Amino acid sequence: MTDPRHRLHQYGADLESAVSRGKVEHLSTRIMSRAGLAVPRRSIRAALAGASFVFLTASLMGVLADEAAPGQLLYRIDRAAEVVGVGRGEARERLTEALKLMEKGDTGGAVLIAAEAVRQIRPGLTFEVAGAEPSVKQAVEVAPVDPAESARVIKLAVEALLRSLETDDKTVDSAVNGLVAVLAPPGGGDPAVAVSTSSTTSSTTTSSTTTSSTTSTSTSTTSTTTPTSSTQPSESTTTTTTGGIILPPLP
Amino acid sequence: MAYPDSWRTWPPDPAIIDGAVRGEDGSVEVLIVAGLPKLIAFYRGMGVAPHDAEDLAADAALAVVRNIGRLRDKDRFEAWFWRVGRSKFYDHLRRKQKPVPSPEREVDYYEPIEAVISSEDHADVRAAFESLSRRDRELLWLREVIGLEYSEISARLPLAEGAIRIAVMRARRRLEAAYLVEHETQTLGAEGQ
Repeated sequence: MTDPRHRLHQYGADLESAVSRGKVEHLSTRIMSRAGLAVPRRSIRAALAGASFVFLTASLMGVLADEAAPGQLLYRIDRAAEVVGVGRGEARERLTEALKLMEKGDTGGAVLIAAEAVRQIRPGLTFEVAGAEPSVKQAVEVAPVDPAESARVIKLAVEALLRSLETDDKTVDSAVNGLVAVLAPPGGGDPAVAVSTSSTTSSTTTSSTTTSSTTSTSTSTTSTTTPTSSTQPSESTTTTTTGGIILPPLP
Repeated sequence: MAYPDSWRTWPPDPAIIDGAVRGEDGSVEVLIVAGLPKLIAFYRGMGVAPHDAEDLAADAALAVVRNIGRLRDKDRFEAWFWRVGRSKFYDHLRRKQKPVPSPEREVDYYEPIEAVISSEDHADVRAAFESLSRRDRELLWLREVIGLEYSEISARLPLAEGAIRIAVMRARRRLEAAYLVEHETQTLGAEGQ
């Protein structure tokens, strides 16, 4: 027969062990609060754990929604997740979405999303074609007016920017410039507008053309933007100005 | 202060006690976290119901927090801690107007692990222990479970250390006798089945 003193000791130890850490933390938090002492770090940790849970849940939702395209159920969740930086990269994803839309023939929607990507990369837009990739530059210089050709040019520019984002940071600036030039070329021959001619609205629209001069230094780029208003008749579409880019309406 | 991994460490490090006496929140926290399981187990051992044991332990811990600044001799911390714990236990008994918690053969468990521990491994000793008087149980718990010295037990009791020593010895014998009976009863019961 075991010594009852030893058994009693073990019984007490087991009763003590049965008190979980969570229970102790809960009680001690209550006690500290009642005693007017600082809230234990555990509470902060618990809050952080809760926040982490929410964040992970949001991340999971974001990942699940990552592949969603505009119009799909998860697309809004996808966009919301991107606001807090969840996902594969806001701009890259926008560009990918733009390409998907272009494959579906929705060039107008693609232009909007591509412009959004540009704004995400560079909130202070700089319009400059000189540094664009040769293929894009060449395409822009051709200044196509045919909708199909415009779509091809935009696609090229979007693909170039996407490629830059995924492979080489050094060419991102020039690729952005190229896309901007395609979307809103300084000369006013806006292929983005040209490709959105599916609408048959006849109206006269006041749009903005943006002229900017860029001063580059080793560390920063300063843009001076001088908006000038001009009245241009448009027989086929209503344009909107978003972030300095002339954009077509959503189809 | 970093939250210790060995959060159950008891008695607390003198530096923790020192910090708690000075009113450092982190030290007080460590002290409470380490002491609460001890208190809860003590009250459970004394026959207090699970939820009441937790409330009682929280009350005792709060009293410890509020009064630890008055502790002059840090070496006497544990005796002082258990004095507070026992004082709360007596208050509880008075409030409940229960002279002695009745021995519980079937305790109301609310955590599965606790039920397993107590019902299977400790049924005999628990039954023997609970058949003792409250005073015997208290003395035995303080001595055999918590491991207080006789001098620490007697520090806040109206008894001399020698008297405590004898009282504990007698309580121990009564436990052994009760345990023997309980053990034989269970053995016979098992053979009968």
